[in-house]
Amino acid sequence: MTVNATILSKPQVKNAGKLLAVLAAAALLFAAFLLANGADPLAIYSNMISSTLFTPYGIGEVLIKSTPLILIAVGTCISAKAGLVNVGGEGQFAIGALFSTAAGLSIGDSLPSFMGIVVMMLAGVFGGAIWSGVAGILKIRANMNETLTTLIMNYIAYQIVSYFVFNDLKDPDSFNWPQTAKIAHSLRLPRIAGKINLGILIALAAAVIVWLLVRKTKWGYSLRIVGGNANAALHAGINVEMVQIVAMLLSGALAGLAGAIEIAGVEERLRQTTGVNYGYLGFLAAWMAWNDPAVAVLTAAVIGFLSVSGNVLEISSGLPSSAISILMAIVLFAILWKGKGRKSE
Amino acid sequence: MGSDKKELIPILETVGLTKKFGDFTANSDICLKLYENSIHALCGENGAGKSTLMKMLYGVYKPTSGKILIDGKETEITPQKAMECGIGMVFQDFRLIPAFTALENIMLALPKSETHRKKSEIKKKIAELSEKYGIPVDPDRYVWEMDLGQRQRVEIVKVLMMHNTRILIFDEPTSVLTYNEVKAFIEMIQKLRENGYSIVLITHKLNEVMSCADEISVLRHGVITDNFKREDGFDKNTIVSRMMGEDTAHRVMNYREAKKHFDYDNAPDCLVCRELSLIDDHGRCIIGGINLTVKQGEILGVAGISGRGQKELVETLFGLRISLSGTTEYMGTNITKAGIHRRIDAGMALISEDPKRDNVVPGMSIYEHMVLAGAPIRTKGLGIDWNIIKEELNNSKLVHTLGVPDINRNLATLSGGNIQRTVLARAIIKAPKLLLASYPSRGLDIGTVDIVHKTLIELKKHGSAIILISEDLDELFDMSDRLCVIADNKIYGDFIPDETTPIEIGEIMLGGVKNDSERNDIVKAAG
Repeated sequence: MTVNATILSKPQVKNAGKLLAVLAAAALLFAAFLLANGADPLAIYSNMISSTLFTPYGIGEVLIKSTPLILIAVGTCISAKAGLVNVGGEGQFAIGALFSTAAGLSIGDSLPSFMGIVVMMLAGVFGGAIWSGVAGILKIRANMNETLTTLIMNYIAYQIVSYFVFNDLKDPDSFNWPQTAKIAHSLRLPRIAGKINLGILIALAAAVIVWLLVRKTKWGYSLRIVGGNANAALHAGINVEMVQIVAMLLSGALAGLAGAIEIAGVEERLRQTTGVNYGYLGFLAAWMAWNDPAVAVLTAAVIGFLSVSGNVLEISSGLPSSAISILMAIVLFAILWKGKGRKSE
Repeated sequence: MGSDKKELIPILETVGLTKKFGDFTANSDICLKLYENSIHALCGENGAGKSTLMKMLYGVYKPTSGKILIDGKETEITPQKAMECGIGMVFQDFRLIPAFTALENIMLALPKSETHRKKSEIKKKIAELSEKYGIPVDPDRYVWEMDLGQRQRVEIVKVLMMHNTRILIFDEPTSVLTYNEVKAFIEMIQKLRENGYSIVLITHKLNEVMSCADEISVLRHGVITDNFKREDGFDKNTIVSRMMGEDTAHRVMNYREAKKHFDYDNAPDCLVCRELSLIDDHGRCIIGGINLTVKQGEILGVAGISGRGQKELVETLFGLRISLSGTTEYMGTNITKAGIHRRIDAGMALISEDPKRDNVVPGMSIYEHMVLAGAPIRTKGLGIDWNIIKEELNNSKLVHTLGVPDINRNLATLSGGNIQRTVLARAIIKAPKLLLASYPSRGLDIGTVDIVHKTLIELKKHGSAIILISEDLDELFDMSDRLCVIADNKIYGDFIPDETTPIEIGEIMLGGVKNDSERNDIVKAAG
């Protein structure tokens, strides 16, 4: 958070302020829903907050949950800055997780821990980038809408992961569960405190790098021009297609990295359900942040917090934990409302 | 009718009309009188508040204070009311539906009481009006098929079809017309005046106004500064100086002087096109067989009705478009297949015909736009050093001369004139070797056009070649060393401005040249 405070420039502070107001309004609406269901919203809210943000376990859960969301959200921001809507975080995450699991399983403990982890991470990056790169090439060479292709490729990715966990990568000792074997102990991401692994630091570092890349570098400048008005970029001699492809690759690479971190840091093996919905939640976080990578870290953390507190909701109110999806939906609509008239700003 | 008019009650009068937008006063204390059977011209630079005033007269804006009198009676104007009072407005951007025919558009605008009339009856009325005022309109033609002049005529017929129309307001009517069409337009409004209509003409083209107006009011910074009446005689220089303010008044440029410096025969080639054919967005050949040479230090004027391939020509030369066939040589190298980036690096610059579409990035400031293929990008480590860039821009003489607004402002929110200034400054700041300038003075007021012309001539004196695309024949004749004309999917020319006339060029623009032998004759005659 301190990292963000220093790099938030003025309009972003204003943006974040508006965001908080919107979140508060959403919380109020959800409170009405809770009341209607006979639950005490104040007690539930205080419970949600105290048990997640004021216990070491809760904080850990929130950070672990936020890690992939931050990476996917920040990645989504890059492609969005190039004017591309990448909804494929889900598939890019899955293929990244698959590649890194495959790499991890084939390495075993043959490599020193550090090198093995790096190889796993690179495999994830590579997998995610391939998946988004395909959509990028389809966009540029065949003029296919990237929103549709990335979305469709999410389903393809899910089926591919299913194929591998049922066949080639299935753990022979799993009593026929569709899951891979665990990766070697040496390949696990080091923990920094409790269950919290190095992933959160990697995600934050990635966010800072992306922010600098977009805001400060010449390439980021080209990126923003391509996204703002591709025609203007063309007239300025910028290679629009190249910028878009690279933006797509980076976007997918970050989602793939999230997949690798999820395997090496949390799950240690790949299942069909690994990281399901992370892609969409990450996309949501980027959207909530209006594709500003600095703000996206915050929104991803908020969504991470909401997902974890869904469990608390179930325990303390008797409502299913999926009721938290209602809160998320309200938040989304509130944000859309806030975005109304944004173009005329 | 001259002197006894004064006793009449004005058909339309404004008293102390004021319009404020927040802190900004667009119009202040406007007092105008429009009499029956007269043409009242309203002149002023861009942003002088002409359009605001007209929109109040038509009820689009509600005045902050002041009143509007119709036939001497105070009336609160809404668009509905304006129509009832017989005020008809021909807007700058036409309010026509492209997918409908002229007839359908006209019927759409008719009041409810008249919609029961038969199509044939309406067609007859259209034909009558066309005949009477010399405004040919084909009722069965689709609007999308028409050029801007034809669309304007539909718009005018539409307003005349309302039986009670007495007052016609024209907002910059001649900006979309060709040289010859302008003449016809002026004849038309004179006929309208003879038939009892009163006309308000908003424009910044003085020549046209002086030939037909009964009264000219000058609007500057939202205030009517002067009224000139025909009976007192119009003096162009006085009016221009009143429009532009004393400080910038009366700077007549000596165009001839600038041309004398240029030695055509000994100048080296800058750009040579051989049998170049251009394709439009639909993949059709829009101009074929272009053989064109532009010398260093030359201004080549390209005349033609807009949309006849001008865009395709500059875009192909700039590398944005692939040519169908032919070759392009630039500074001695074949660049037919070179990318845009290479051409920019080799010193080409393009002023697009639609800067808003082709150049403006929403949310970005002027300084962020200025380094886009314009001013050099200064870097610091891996990043861009915006502070140095801003400093350089603020110290740039050109940026100040062209009147580029505060460089921290968001370009997308600025007016067309300010965007044009920015785009011009950006293209010229790097002193291009070849400047492809599409309508560089479009949307600019007289004062700024003058500065733009001076800047271009300065550039030419330094040896830059300029391809100047314009619809304004005065501009083309003043600026160009040689002229060519786009018409009929061909480029005609070249012509020496001193050896031809605007009428001749105008005719070629409209009809092209009918057959090849005739074409050759013209080319030969032009030398």
